[in-house]
Parts: sequence; C-alpha cells; structure tokens
Amino acid sequence: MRRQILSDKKSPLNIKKIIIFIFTLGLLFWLSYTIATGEIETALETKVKGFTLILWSILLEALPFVLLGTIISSLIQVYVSEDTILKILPKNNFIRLIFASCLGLIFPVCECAIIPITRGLIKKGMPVGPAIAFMIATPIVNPVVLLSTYNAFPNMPEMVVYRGVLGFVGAIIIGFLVERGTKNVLKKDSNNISCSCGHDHHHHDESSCRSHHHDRSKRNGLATIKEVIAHTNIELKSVGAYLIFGAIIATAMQLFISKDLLFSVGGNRGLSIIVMMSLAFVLSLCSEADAFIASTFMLHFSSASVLAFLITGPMIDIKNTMMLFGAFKKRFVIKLIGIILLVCFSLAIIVSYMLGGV
Amino acid sequence: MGKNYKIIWLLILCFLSFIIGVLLFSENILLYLSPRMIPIVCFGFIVLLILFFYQLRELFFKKANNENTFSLNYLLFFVPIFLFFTSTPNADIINELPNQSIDISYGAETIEAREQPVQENEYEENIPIPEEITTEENEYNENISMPEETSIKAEDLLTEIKMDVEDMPPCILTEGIRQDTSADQFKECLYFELEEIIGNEVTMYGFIFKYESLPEDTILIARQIVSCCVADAVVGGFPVKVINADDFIEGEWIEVSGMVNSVELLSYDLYYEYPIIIDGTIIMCDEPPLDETYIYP
Repeated sequence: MRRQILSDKKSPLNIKKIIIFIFTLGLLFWLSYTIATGEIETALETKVKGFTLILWSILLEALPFVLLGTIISSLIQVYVSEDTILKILPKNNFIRLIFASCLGLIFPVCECAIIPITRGLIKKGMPVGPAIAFMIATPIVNPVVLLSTYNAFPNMPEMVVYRGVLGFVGAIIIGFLVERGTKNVLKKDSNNISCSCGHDHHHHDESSCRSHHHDRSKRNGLATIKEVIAHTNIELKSVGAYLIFGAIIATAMQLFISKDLLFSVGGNRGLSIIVMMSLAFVLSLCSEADAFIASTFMLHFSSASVLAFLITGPMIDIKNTMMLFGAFKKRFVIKLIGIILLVCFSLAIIVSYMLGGV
Repeated sequence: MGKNYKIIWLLILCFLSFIIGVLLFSENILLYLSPRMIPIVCFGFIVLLILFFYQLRELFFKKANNENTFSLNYLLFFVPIFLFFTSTPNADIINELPNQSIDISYGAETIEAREQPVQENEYEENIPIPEEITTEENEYNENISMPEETSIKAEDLLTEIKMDVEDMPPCILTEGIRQDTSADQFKECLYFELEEIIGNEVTMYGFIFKYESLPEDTILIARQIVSCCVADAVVGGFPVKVINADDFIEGEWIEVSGMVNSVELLSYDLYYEYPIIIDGTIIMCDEPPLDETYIYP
C-alpha cells in the first residue's frame, strides 16, 4: 500500500471538493470585483491592499528563515545519525536542558526557522525536553535579538539582561515540564520521509536505506545534495502552508483588533501582564523587531509587563502556533502552549514584584 | 493525477519565485521590508529557484509516485499569490492602515507622567504670594484675586515654562518648493531628549497625521519607523501647531521649519510632555522615493 506524503487527514473527498469550490468561487468573485471597479479604488480595495501589504511583509521576512530551517532540518536528516545526537547531549537531564538552551547563543535564527529544525532533531532521537528548550530559547537568547533589544532600549540596558535571563530560565522550565508524560509528539505524517530514490521509509528504518544503496559511506556529494533538496521541497509544502495560514490570521488580528481596546483592559499588575502577553501572541512579530514595538509601550505599562511581551512573543504566537500544529500532535501543542503561557506569566509576576510598579 | 498535483506545486514555486524576483529587481521590496533584510530575501529567492528547477526535473523526468492526492495546503499558497496580482499595494497604503502604534517623539524620554497637567502644579509651586496679602485674604475674603504685579510675574513664569497651546504662534502654510533635503532633522530629533531640543530651530520632512489625542489645531508631522518589515511599523512624529487643522489632508507630505516648544498631552488618563513645533512655516511637498519613505532605527 503506497503511503501518502503529507496529505491531509482522512477527510472525505466531497468535503475537499466543497472547500476547493468555495475557495475558487471566492477568488473569482474578488477578481471580478477588481476588474469591474477598474481604476476606481473602493474602500474595500484599499483595505485589501493594506491586508496584502502586511501579509506579504510578514511572508517576505519569514519565508527565507523557514527555508533556512527546512534546509538545516534536511541536513540533519541526511548527515546526523541518532547516535551522534545521543553522544553530543549530556547524560544528566537537567544539564541537558541547560545545554540545549545555551545552543541558542550560537544559532541566530528566528522562531520561523526553529520549528522545522526542532522537528528534525526530535525525528533523529533528541529527547523532547531538550528539543523544546532549544526551540524556546533560540529566538530569545541569540546575539542578534539581544543586540536589537539593546538598540530598542538605549536608556535601559538592563532590559537586555532581563530578557536574556528570563528567556533562558523559562526555556529550561518549559523543557522540564513539557517532557513529563510525553512520548510520541510528532504528527504521524511527519515520520514519513520521501527519499530522492523515490521510496518512502520510516526514519528509523535504515535497513531499507541500505538495501536501496543509501549507505552513507557510499553516498556521493551530488546524491546528498539531491536528497537535501528533496527533503526541503517536501518540508516546505507543509511548513509553508501553516506559515501562510498563521500569517493571514496575524495580519487580520493586527488590522482589525484595536490596541486601545487591549490597553483599556489592563489595569492592575496581573491584567497588564496578561494584556501584553495577548498582544505578543496576536501581533506575531519577529523577535528581532518586537523590542522596538515594546519600547513604545513603556509609557503605558510597567517594565515587567513589557518583559512579558518580550519573552512570550518569541516563544509562542499565532504564526508559530499554526506551524506547531503542522509539525506536532494537537494534544502536545495545546499542552505546550499552556505551559509556555503559565511559565511566562509566572516569571513576569515575579519580576513585577521585584521591580515594583503595576 | 499525480502529475497534475506536481504541476500545481511547480506553479506555486514559479509564482513565489517570480513575485520575490520582481520585488527584488525592481527595488519595490523596500515597500515591504527594511534594507537590512534584503540579503536574507535574496537567499530565499535562490532557494526557491533551486526548488523550482528541482520540481521541473521531477515533473518531466520522474514518474509520479510520491503524491497521489490533492493537498488542501496548496490552496493556502494561492491566497497571497492571488492577492499580490489583484491588489498590489502602493506606498500610500501604509499611511492608511488602522490600529498602527503611534509614538510621539519616539526615542526621546518624556518627563514622567503626571495625573494633573503641569500648569496647575507649576502655578501653585512657583508663584510667590506675599505674606501681607495672604493675611488679608484669610481675614476678609479667601477669594481675593492676585495683585496685578504678581499676575504679571505668574504669566511670565508660565511663558518661560509653558504656554497654552492656544497661545502658541502657529506654523503658517506657505508656497514654496522643498530644496534642501539635507535640512531634514527628523531622524535626529527622534532621539533627542526634550531639554536638548527645546528652543531650537528645526526643519522636518514627513507626512501629515491626525491623532485624536492632539490638541485642537495641531497636526503630527510623522514618518513610518520600520525595524524589520512593515508589519512592525510604528508612526513616529512631532506635533505641529497650525492655524486650522482642517486645511491639511492626512497623508500629504510637508516640510515644517519652526521652533521647538513643549506641550502636554493627555494619554490614557496621564499627562505627558512632548516637543511641539511652533512659529514657523509649512511647505507642501512631493512624496519621497521608496528608499526614503521609511525611517529605520
């Protein structure tokens, strides 16, 4: 029985047809509308152009990093064996978490690229806890993000230290908590890898690799490159779709949810932190740019609330959530999101009492 | 059917490469991103091209054996592609986006927020009330107005510290052509403290932005401040005192030359002190080229 690569869940064909029909109808309607109005720009067209501008700005920024992440993930699939992963990782569980969180210092990638890389590492046998700690820490503790934070808060250099430390500590705690009672976290389809030979095999099934002349010792450079490209091509189809879906929702949230509404809700210590965390989730900003946005909130919110914004956004937002649902099982993602939000809130509350203010 | 689905993915890669390539080579990419992001977009473009040629090879030289069903993921890829071709945005659009963050004077620290306007506090703290008058007031009438001498001193003191916005001389709309582009001090002034620029003559170039928290007959001369991409853009600017704000259309570009004073603005129940440009001239200008539209911190 042939396996289907990255196909949808087992949805009946008639539902697919209905979705395709509605989608095509919507596109045709919009095309007709723009042709009919001609050069006259209606209010609706202005709004759609604004939507297109924001959507494409997010995609243009995120897509190259997603491609980078899929390439690195493919290289891991091709070059890195499970034994290598286990050799590199320390034996002690706690030190493993610290080690994984520190990797962010040498991996200057944003949260878009890190999800395919993390999935690749877990596929290769990395335990879930350190993998998630690595995924959470990298978008915060990497040097590029810390430098941009320093530039955004020129009169408050301590924000860089707070952000780095909270991100690092939060990643360790989240990695520790998420590993409890967690076994198989990857989506079922993620375990099927289409190799450049055209045969599908499970990532643990190395015997089938060898039987089809995929023994690494005999692999030449060109075959390896083809395999990496094949993996990247397949990963892009699934990861890219979730990225676009997340970007569409993030754009809609940015344009249609009023920040004033959120600001009016945040009145006390706990509520203001929740408001800032919600804003971080909704805005889905890149971790290199969110510090500049956060600095504009300093007038209305305490340092602790702004720090909650700075650590929550890189860990989880709408865009990431969609990509996580594409890579991991639904129950695991929901558990992960819950743990992230709880840990971020708790850290922010502790900092708010230490620093004072509402 | 498997081959048809390969064609669909090939088309998606083709369109994505085409769109990114057109944006890069026409430099319209600057409408969406900061220039420092261009190298990474170039990397993404090259990878997409490689994937496109790989998929082309898969289509013509390999049998369809990997994909047998149509994935709904493909539809999502067509959404941004379709929107790009039917609703291509232009530079004016960003100034009309709703819910943008607004930051007056951006990087400069303002004086600590107060619950009451400064005028009331300053008046009570800085006006010397002679003891004799105080005694008379207490004996006869608590509401005796201040003697003229003291009133004059109070007004002088207020003038030195703060004028009411209504009393500030406005910037006058004049005819002229913006010539000296190097006179634009917008970016510099964003990062100065209020005390450093107050009383200085400045020339700034930006677009008109009307903000509800501004006092009457005040507009904002603003620029879009972009860190990475337009999605994180913040409207940064300076209030400008004018005769009648209705004479100005939001989104039009102007050059303002005037003196910097300070004004208090109420924002979320607290008062903040900001610079304001007064006693100067305003010239209507053309839009800048795309590479000068945004400010990059």
